[in-house]
Amino acid sequence: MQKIILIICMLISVSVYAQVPEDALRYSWFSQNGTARNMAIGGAMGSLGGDITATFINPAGIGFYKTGEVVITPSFLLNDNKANYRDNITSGKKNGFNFGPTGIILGSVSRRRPENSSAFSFAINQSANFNNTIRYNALNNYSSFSEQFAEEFAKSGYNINDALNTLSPLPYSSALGLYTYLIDTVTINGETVVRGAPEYLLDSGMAVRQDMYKKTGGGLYDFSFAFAGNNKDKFLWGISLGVPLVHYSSNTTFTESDTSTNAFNRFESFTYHDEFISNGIGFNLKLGAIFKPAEYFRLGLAVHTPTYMVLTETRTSNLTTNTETPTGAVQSLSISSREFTNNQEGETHYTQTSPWKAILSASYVFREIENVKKQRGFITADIEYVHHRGTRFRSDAEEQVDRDRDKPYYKALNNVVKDTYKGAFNFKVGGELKFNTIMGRLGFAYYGKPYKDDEFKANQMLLSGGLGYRNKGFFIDVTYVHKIIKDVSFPYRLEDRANTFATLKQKQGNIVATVGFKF
Amino acid sequence: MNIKTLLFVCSAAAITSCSTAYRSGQTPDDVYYSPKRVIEEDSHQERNKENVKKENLEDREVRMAVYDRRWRDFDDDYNYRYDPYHYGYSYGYYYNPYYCHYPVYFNNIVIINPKNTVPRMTNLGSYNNPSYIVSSVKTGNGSWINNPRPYNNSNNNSSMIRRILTTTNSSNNNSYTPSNNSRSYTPSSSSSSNSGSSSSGSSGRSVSRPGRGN
Repeated sequence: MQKIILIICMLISVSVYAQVPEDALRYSWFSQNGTARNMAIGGAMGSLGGDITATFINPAGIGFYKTGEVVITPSFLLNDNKANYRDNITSGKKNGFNFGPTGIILGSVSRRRPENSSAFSFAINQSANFNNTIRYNALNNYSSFSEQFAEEFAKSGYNINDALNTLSPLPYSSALGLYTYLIDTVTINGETVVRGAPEYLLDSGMAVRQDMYKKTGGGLYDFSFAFAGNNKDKFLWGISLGVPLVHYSSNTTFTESDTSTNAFNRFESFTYHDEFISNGIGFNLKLGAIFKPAEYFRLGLAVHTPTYMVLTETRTSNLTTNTETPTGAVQSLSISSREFTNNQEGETHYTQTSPWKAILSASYVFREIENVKKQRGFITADIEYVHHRGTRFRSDAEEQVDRDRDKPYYKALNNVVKDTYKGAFNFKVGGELKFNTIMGRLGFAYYGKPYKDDEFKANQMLLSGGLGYRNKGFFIDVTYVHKIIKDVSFPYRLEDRANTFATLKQKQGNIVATVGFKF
Repeated sequence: MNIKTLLFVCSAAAITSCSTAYRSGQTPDDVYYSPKRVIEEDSHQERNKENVKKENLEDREVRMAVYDRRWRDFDDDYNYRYDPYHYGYSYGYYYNPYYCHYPVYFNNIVIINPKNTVPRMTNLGSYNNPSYIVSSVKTGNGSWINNPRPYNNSNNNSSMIRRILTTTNSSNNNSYTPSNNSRSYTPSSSSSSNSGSSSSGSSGRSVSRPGRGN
């Protein structure tokens, strides 16, 4: 029948713990932020140049400048989220201010060789905006949030006294569950196992009601210095040093409750609240070149090195569990993770290297001449590859003993990142029509799926349009970007059961304005 | 929010302080064509530039040495060790009774309130797909294949019964069978109730659990 037969056993599963794999995508899978002009043309800037956004995409594009320019880009973001969790749809909104590239460009022509020029730029950009809220809820008759604690504790090899300690190895999860009896050890058929209290409900065929609320904030603020050279307007090269500042905050509240009227099934409800803040700083390099093989045509290539970031994270969790006693009474117990982190916030130091990126681009600029009245427009397109599976984590703990403790954790995490994510292609295309001082623009962008698993549907699509006015040494551009993000969200993950996840559909409206002066 | 506010204030100040050289005539659009920058320089500035170029470097050195004797140290012909005004200068530092230019070490540092530095954790095994060895009948060589991880996203999914997933060893069947073994409580450590193991190498105190309600 077949040439192969299935034999032997399951792979020994990874039973270690670390910073979570989802952290990898946070700093690599987001749409590029730019000036209003750049956003209106889909964000394509790999070969076009002549815009401060080139500092963050292809620094060679700065080389087109022989003039000076100061730019400011405020924007307003409108979020509208829909989540489908176990066939139940929930929606939420979150709005907020943002800012795009803001800075200065200085171009100058060589005195000795007037056909050559160089340019320098310094710009700040909020590359990623983490302000968002996600909410989903549904009945679940299959699994419980508490099971991840039970699984974690059972696999950890620690006993209860190890976990319930002021310097607990499991301070934000199992220790809270054990203290409040959300999880506990029980003997079944002579074997001692770890179980979550809601499992008794699920085993009897009942469902629990689950509610997940996550509010995130902060951003990735990129400070960049770029220098570019221009050789006879034929060949341009550029280099940019980026110093990203990271601030990310996450507040998650997960509630699970008994849906039955039975007061003797050992579980009534629990509320788990988790809060952490990541702050850090990093650096990266962006290298680029633009070549003009013929008049009107521009070809561009840019490579972004991985961003090396040093991060510090503080974390606090709280759990309140209401269990039903054998007499039918309710016992309510609450605990904070601070009890298990020496009466202070837990603090973790680690480094994260975000993936490298390469951009290939082409543009057609109709009439590259000085007389503004005869400039007609352009079309431009970028194709971008982001190596999402290239993210790496490493412990940066102060004590060697802590680094040695964390080393196997981070090694396993890096392997999971490699196995879970894949490299993805992004496409951006846009164009402009120019009528002397007035300009009209349209653009489109598509960001590909970073997950390997075929079950997940994830991508980002951007449709944009905008207007610009440029006269008397001053310019203003206004753009509206409509973004649709499809993604998945796991409220918890279990190794020994089938997992459940929510599908997210996020609609974002982004109103962007750029004001600038020429000098 | 503070970063954004500061940025907008600085940027607005920079923009309002700008004076543009393109108030009259066309405003260049650098995407299409960037003309040479318009620089307004008066004849006085030009004259100053010329003067700077002509300045003799030697004259400048002498003038600086008169102003501050430390500039004389750069002259190779001058041995500053015999300088009567030179005092306490060695290994790159002037003598300063309040400054010690080598590291000072303190022994017996006691950390009174150690922080818990355990990373934010998740069970990484929950991300992995179950794997099996597939062996060829002809060659007998084995190779690993991954089974897709199952998902349960509906309460109406009757085919997915609530059970703990493990893989069987049967030759042609890689279905999942119920088992409770994966959540067995088998602690490998055996600390007493008064001193638990520490995550950061130093021992913590036990946190006593309240009693179960009756």
